[in-house]
Amino acid sequence: MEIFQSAIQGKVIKMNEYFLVGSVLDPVKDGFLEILRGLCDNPENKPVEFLETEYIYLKTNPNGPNVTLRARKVGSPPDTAQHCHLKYVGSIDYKTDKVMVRTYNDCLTSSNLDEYLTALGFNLESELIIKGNLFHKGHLKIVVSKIFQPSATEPQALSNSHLVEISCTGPPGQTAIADSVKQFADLLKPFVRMDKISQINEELNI
Amino acid sequence: MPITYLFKLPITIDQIPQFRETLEKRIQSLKPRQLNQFQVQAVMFQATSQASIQQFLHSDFSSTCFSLIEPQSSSHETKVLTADIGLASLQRRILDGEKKALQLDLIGSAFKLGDFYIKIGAVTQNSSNRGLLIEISYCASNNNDAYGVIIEFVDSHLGLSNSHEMLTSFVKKKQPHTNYTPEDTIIQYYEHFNSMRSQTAQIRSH
Repeated sequence: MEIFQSAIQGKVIKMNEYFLVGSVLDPVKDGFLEILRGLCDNPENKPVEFLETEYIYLKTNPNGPNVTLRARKVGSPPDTAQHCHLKYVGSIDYKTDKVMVRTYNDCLTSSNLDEYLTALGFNLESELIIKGNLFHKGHLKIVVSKIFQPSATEPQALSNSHLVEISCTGPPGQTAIADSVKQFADLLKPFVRMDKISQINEELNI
Repeated sequence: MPITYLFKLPITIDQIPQFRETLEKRIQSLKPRQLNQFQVQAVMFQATSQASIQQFLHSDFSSTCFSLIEPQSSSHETKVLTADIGLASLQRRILDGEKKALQLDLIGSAFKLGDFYIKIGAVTQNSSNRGLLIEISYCASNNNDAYGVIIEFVDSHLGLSNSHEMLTSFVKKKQPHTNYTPEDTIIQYYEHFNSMRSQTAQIRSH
């Protein structure tokens, strides 16, 4: 009821995502998944596998910055799903010393999301298929995923590695959350280096 | 899921407080169970030059946010996107700065009487009255049964005649065998709110 009242008053719930990224090469991925299984909650269970399609929508705004939204559906394109996941992420704040921070708002919606976004003036920009595994450690979410580009025949892999993401959402300015993300990232250090995107780009001279 | 019908009383704006009291007295005399106050809010966002959307919040569905895409013409079907309450925040974030045309609020009292839920509330815009609505829900197995029973309830217990005329065209057009969904309630609110808006526009133009 509290959330309902704040929605009635027109307040925006401020949420941030604290996250770090890294990558692991395909041949050693299975070994890495076993390590993660040991580090995360419920090691006796198999990791959660998922296959999702992400649609990136863009709205060009003549008076301000463009707005991008990400919609996800379970399954690859021909499948029809029951519901969608809609996500807004802001630009990344690199000023924090430990992890990357960005504003984050998400919600689950009914399956007619596409119509709604089109009515709002959003255009479909690109489409990705994401296949991966999900782990939990307390509030932390760890995702190891491979990104494919959809094509008429078989989805094409974009690289020969898997993306590793550690993330956690919470109210802005929570250094405790940032610390826990960083601590978990340090545990993976011998196998995968988790870093900020800006740092990786700097080292690669991009 | 109870089937809900929404009635708009054909009275002038100055009759609202008095009429509301009379109706509540009539209900009270049936010794109902008084429920918590109920609340409905509609906010209109002008998304693009052609399209606008309306965000509906209803205290009966306190963790859901409905977003209604206004049909381009009356021949189009009205589409509703159903999402969790996070959409209210997300919508404000992506559409803030867009011109907000209007906000209508409805606050009223709710009663339970056997299988019936009765809600009486006044619609306000910037704290001035716009109209009086009665929402009646009945736990029936199909639309056809509910229609007769609800109309009879309104005629006999609330002492209103011609109650069929107070329904929206959406309800009148709805096929009797189709399932009733919460979206149908929202579309009824949308149509009644719309008629109240055009009413006020008429008064002003006179």
